[in-house]
Amino acid sequence: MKTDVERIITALRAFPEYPPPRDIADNVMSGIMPRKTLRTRLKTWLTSSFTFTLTPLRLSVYALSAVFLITIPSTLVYYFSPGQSVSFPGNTMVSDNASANFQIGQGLLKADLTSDALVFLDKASSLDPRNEEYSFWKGIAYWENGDLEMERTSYLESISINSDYLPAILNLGNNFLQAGDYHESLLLYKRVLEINPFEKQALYNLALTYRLIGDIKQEEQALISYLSLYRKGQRSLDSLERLQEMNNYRFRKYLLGNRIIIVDQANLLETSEQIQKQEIAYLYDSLAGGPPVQLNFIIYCTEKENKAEQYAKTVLNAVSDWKKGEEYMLTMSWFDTPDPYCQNHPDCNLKKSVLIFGTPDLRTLKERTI
Amino acid sequence: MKNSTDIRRGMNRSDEEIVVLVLAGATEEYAQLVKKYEKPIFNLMYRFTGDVQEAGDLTQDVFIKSFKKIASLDVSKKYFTWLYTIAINSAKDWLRTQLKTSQNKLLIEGQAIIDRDKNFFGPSGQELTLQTQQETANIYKTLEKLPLEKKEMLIMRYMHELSIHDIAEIFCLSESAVKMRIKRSLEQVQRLLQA
Repeated sequence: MKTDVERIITALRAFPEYPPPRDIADNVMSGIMPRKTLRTRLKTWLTSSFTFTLTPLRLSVYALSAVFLITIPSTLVYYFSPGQSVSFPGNTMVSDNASANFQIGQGLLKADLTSDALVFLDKASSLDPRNEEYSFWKGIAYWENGDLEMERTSYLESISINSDYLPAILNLGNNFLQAGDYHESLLLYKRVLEINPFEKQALYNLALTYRLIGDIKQEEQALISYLSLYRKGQRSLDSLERLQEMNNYRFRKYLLGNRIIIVDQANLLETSEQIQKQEIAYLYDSLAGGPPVQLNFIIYCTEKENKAEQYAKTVLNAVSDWKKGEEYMLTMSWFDTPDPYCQNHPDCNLKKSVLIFGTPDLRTLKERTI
Repeated sequence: MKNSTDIRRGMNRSDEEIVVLVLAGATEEYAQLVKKYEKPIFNLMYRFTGDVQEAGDLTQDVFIKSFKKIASLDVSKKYFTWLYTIAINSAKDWLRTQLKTSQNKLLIEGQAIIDRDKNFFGPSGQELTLQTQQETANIYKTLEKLPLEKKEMLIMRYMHELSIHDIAEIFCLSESAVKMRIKRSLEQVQRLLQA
């Protein structure tokens, strides 16, 4: 009988691999085959025609370049003049004004000059040690420079100045998450959500952290909280997929028109009118701006006989209420049977569910006649 | 190093023979190395990125980098070990870039958001479902909880059957450190499974 370690090694030996995309070798070879000679490229460049257009962006770049070229000589004159004490570049101390150093530091950070940015942000923070924002941005600069320890210290500094300073608490949570201190990061994300229960990153990372520590139940709750508020983007789709891996099919995605829309089935088939209307409003808002779509609902329910019809009527009422005064097309079907998906997936235990299809709204199509 | 006249003609050349040909100017021979190792490199990248598109792009970058550096290859070393080192470093650079990109998002928004990529989740459950036995699936799920480097060491040792010496070279560690890490990683997986 195999030991645990032997089973693990056997599994590792058979670790599955995906086939790579087919065009990797072709792309690599086209990237490395000899380039045309300089003579050939120059000839091509000289003999081909080109057009020059002036765009607002180009105009801005030319204008900035002109300003730069004009100011450099005057800066050099200043630098080489006797009696001046400016050191240059990187350690230029503009003034002892904390705000000025902070603005410069932020600008340098945005320009990706992270080492220089750190000098200014550190200076700003020392000139005004009671400013939580300066300490926070110093932490950002340390992170950009790959110094996670000093990053953490800076956020802690920021929080010691203002214990509710959300950016620092969130980033500190991410710092601990990155370092693998999951329990610390959990506490911090929860603190963020106490201050702002809608903080998107904290909601998502909370679920992530629960997963990493193996707390499936809490992870599930956190994912539901995330999807209850945020239904767009890749993270929402990932959260949905993860929930379904846990056999939680409360949320479902539908391709309606040209959009993928995630719907909360529990809310849509809820007995509370208010909650139902919110879900209907969300559904139609998500379709707004796209091609006109006729929605076709199919409701499945195994709770008790005729319950599917009852749910169908409540959904119809909710739509009718929301669409007051507007024309709309909709079809509704219902069955007191399990969802077809559950028939093929024994782990699926949905007692009630809804399938939604979108078809082009025929009223908008022009009829062609011969 | 072999003399070029000693190199066998035909399809089944060794990696070293192909490298010699490439260095002698037969760039087109490099395609053989790409086709031979694209699968393990792509899968390594996929384990880091969790995204097929991204993994494909990174795989191409790795092979292009290795081509550019091929003159610096020490022929006493195995090509695959050297290639894997480049790949691991590229994957780590990618991770750093991802964190940096999300930091730029922070700067643009002026808010305290550092996005963490889904790489933290590791590869999706799709890999696990390739195995029919639940036990093996559990082992793979448990492996996802290991830090990326430790997991890679286990895969290199048992799946790719690299020697401890080779793995030590790739990660710039001593052989005893690699042995210890592999041993501890196996124990950790065992503990997690029992929990």
